Amino acid sequence: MDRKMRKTLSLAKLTVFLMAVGCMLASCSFEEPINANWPPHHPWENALQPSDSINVNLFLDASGSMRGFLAGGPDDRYLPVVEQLAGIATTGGWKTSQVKWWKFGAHVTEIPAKDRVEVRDPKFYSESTTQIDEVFRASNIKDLTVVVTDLFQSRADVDLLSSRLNERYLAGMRLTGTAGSAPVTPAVAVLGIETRFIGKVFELGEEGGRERSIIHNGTLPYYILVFGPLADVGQFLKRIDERFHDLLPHTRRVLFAERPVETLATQVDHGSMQVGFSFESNLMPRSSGGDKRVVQLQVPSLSGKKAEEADVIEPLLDCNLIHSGLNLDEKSLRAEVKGERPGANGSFEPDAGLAQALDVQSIKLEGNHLKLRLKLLRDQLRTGRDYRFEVRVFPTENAFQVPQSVLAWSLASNEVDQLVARQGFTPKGVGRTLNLAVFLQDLRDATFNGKQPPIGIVYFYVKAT
Amino acid sequence: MKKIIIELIGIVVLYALFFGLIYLMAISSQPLLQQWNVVPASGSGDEYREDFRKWALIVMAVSLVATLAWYALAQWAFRVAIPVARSKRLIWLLWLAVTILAAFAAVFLGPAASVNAHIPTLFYFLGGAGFYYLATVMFSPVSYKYTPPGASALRFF
Repeated sequence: MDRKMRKTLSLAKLTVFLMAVGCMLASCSFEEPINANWPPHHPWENALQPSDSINVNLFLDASGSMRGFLAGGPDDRYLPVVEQLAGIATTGGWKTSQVKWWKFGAHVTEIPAKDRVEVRDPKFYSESTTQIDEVFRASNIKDLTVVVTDLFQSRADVDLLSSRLNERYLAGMRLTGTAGSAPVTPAVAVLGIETRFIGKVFELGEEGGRERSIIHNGTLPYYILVFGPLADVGQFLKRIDERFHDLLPHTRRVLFAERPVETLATQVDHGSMQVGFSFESNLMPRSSGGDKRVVQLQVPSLSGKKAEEADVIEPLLDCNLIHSGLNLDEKSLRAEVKGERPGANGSFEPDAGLAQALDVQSIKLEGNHLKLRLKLLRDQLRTGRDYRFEVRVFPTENAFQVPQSVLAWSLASNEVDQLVARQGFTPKGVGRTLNLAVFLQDLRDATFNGKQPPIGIVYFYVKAT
Repeated sequence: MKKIIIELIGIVVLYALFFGLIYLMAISSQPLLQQWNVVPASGSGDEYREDFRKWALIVMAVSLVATLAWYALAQWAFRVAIPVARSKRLIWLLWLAVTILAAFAAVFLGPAASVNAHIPTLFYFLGGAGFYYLATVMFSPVSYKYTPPGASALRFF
């Protein structure tokens, strides 16, 4: 073989060698990820949107016990507020709003628009009984219903009112959502305002066939109850806040709505803590559209000591809780894990056994962030498979509680006899509302019992390699 | 002159091939570092590979400079001589040391991996020192074509 020939051969050998190495490297590639049944988006990922147009029904309690709120004076926080409620409704930010005044006592009667609402006239408060139940017959559930009342009620009335609110709003409106459309999120807000009161307090039971009452000269809370779609209720309360800045120290507010968050997070920060696995951005199928709710993890099989330590994930997601005025016990947050594995038809299928592969070790609410600590048990995964996990964080039934500052305004039924005997509230003429605690606890139970409303949902796409 | 151009083109082509490895390792849609389970010690896989790419480029650049420097010295600075094994080998080794240093810098200053860390380490050394070795074996000027160890067995032209 001559020299030139050997030279050509040598170059050819080198080229073939390099090409072979290149082809070998390029041929190593993942299988295309599974490409079907991507988790649907939760309706709460969308921000709350107030209605474009709204009917606002303002119901004013016309029972005799309300007269005491006409005391006037510098501490009067009744007349200035009630007289402006219609104005608040018409300038509440809705494109159009129709406001109607109603008077309720034994019956509910509409006050025609041409007639002035005589809020200041003691004769207006001439009803001897209050059938608050009637309010629900007059108001459509899609309307915004605003009730001004003293909420001073017997136990039976409280039960009736709270059950009506539950049937019609807290449970009832939820059921109006149909498949394919976002269900309406109902809300019931209770805004208590402490104001000057001089007059008789009734609903203290009967003695010798006569209704008992006491004269009270001091302060007593009255209430603005707002029912309707959550966004509209929130809008109305916001307008009250804007209009009456100085009311705040004298008010107590609680909002009951199954939806605890402004919006569910649509993206998740995978966090920084990790050992032995890799956060990736290219594992999911392209059809997922780069869903930012998903943490993508590549999990290699490991052995020995590394396998034991390679397991902690700490994702972080936004969690803007609605300011409901309820106390949230963070220790009562729970998480549910659902695992899915590839099925026969190319889509993911639930696998109950996989729930144990991702162990939720802690849930912390830090400001507006929800921080999870999860332990991935890689020995439950099979190499060469893709897995999907959904971790749904929710408050337990008892996580939200009515704050003590609100309950302090309540007068229990068993205190009534003492009140009558003493002929007044103590101390210093600060009045309380009969059975307020029972009413609010009933609403709390109706809102949260038996439900697991999510405050954060995070998905994991795990590629076990 | 024609020979010089061919040798320089050879170096560039070889460099391009090695450079392509960086693409396969860290930039392609399914990078080899990911497929070979190179797991970063911190940060995401994307961040790790971005850092890896930077350091791999540094190592490769140092290696190219070392190769061209050796070529320039051998072509124009050293005396024209009959090819003798080991001639100017110390200088050749010095440039090799530079590429190895660059690889060490990448290993210790570059991104850390918690699993399969030997793969990027190997790449830094093969990409840096390996390229220098292969390029100088294949394309050193004739007078010093046997200076790289093993060149007498590998180079036939």
